[in-house]
Amino acid sequence: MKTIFSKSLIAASAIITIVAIACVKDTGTQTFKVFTPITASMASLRASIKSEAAMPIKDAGKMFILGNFVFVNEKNKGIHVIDNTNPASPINKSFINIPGNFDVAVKGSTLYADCYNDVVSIDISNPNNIAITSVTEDVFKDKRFLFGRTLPAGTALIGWDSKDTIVDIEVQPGMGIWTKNESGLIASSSWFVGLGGVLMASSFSGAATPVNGIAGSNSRFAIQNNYMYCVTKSELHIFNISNASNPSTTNIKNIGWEIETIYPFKDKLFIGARTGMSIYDVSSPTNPTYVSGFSHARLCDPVIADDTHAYLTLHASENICAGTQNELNVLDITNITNPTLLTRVNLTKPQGLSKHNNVLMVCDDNSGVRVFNVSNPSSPQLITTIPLKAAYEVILVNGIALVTAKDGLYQYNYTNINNIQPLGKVSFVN
Amino acid sequence: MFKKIIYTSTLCFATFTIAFAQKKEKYQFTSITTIGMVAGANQQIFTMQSFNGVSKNLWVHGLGFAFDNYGSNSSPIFLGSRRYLSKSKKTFLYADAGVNIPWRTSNFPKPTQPNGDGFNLKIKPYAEFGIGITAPINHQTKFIAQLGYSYKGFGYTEKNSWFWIGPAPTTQKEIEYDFVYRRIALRLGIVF
Repeated sequence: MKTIFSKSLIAASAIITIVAIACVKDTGTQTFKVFTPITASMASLRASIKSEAAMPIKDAGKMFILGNFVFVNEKNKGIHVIDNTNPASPINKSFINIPGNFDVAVKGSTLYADCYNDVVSIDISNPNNIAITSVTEDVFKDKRFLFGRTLPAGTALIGWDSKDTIVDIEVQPGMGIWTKNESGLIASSSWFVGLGGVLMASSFSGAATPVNGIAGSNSRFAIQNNYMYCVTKSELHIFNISNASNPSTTNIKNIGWEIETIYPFKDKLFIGARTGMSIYDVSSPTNPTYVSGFSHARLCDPVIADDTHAYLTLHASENICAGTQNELNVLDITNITNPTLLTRVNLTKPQGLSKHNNVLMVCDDNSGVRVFNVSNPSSPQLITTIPLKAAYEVILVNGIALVTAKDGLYQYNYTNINNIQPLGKVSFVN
Repeated sequence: MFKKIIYTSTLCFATFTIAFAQKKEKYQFTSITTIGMVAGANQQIFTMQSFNGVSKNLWVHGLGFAFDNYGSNSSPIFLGSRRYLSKSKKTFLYADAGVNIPWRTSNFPKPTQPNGDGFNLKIKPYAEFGIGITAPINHQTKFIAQLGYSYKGFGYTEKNSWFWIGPAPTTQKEIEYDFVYRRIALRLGIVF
């Protein structure tokens, strides 16, 4: 019996030793998501542009007002048309399906909208039977640039397919083996790339002028008389829209980088970028000329202006704008060639803003809408705050403030700034 | 893998406990304390282990913990059994299974990107099996030596707002890392 155990022990020792030596190994894996772009041809996307019955607003974006109609963007999907003849009881009339849409401007019966990379002109004179009258291709060509790759012209990025992916990694000091002597960063895998200033195009805004309609301060479109100005991330596109249904590109100017918004006032364009505001003179409409600029920390910044002052909201945003400031800046632009900062007002996360006479309203995210008296612009007086969740865009027109917030399009009578009265509301479906 | 080890070790422990109970024999407390070395592909490091349980006939069942800094600082906690191969109790086979509890120290991990948002350390499986011998030192104490194959898992989730992998949007904020260390373990100590 003893012999049997001794042999068993020897055999077990041998097996374990062989197995152990053969299997001594350190292994490691890295698990992450790999994103693959999903693309579609612009022709197929344009084919889906059509008028549909009204549908609930879920994810409201930018806003444009023309007469009694309010156009509210459904992010990435199209435009809701709202009949605001009676502000106390606005009616959601119809929906224009425009894939990849974030911006809108309207002149007469022609609606201009971005459709992924393109700008389309749509005849909306018959709301039940809209028709594309013109397509300007590849205006937003920056949307085809994806993290070092470029999609072919005529192709749009419509989404991302993500897959959990596991890859083997070599176990070595600094990666799987850590000791007290180990210092510095983990050896970076070749899969990692810094942010490098390239971000996925996440939003496109739209704007217009008081002459043809009114857009919000987050807009990328601006209509000035017979011209429409459109800012991409780096370019200013000038369209001649004297023939509204068939705009023609008259000029394209490179105006910097990380451009976000455009606001027209008289013969000037105020352009908001993540690192500052630029003023362009458009007295020669087809050839805008740089006048001056105002730099600030890297932040998101819609801008509006009047004859003497410009108002910027700066807000920090994780991954998009970076920075840490959240404030309203008031600039003196009496000397248009040298804008100077008059004052700063700290806010929560200010976004869209609008001004009429001495009333300035600023959407301040979940803090609501801040109402300022700016009769003395160097010292804005906070009069009240309208409590709304996720207030994003505001437009003041004819004594009525239209505000998009998390759960609806709200309207307020602000003719008495000390007694702002709610009017109607179009509820959103969240 | 992790669940299998837990289920198997729990089942074994329960089975052995029931088997002992049925025989209605006397239990004895047993404590095994060892120091030693684990040697793998990348390191050879010092380790300590304490195993405490009950013995009856040829079996010892118990709960153990260890300090095991191979790859990363951690403490395995495990259920284990030893089976002597004869009544002389000079040789035995052993098997342990449990979890590896990582320590958060300044040694590891280092962030892949500067200003990372931190790490969540994971609890991973731990197992070891092998053979051993004992030799009496006095009436109550014995010397013990054991040689085995040791498996230790370690993992963490690195969080960072700025990860960007391949042609991708910037929404990826977590990357999982998982390591498995397969080593030879040599332990020397005392049993009482």
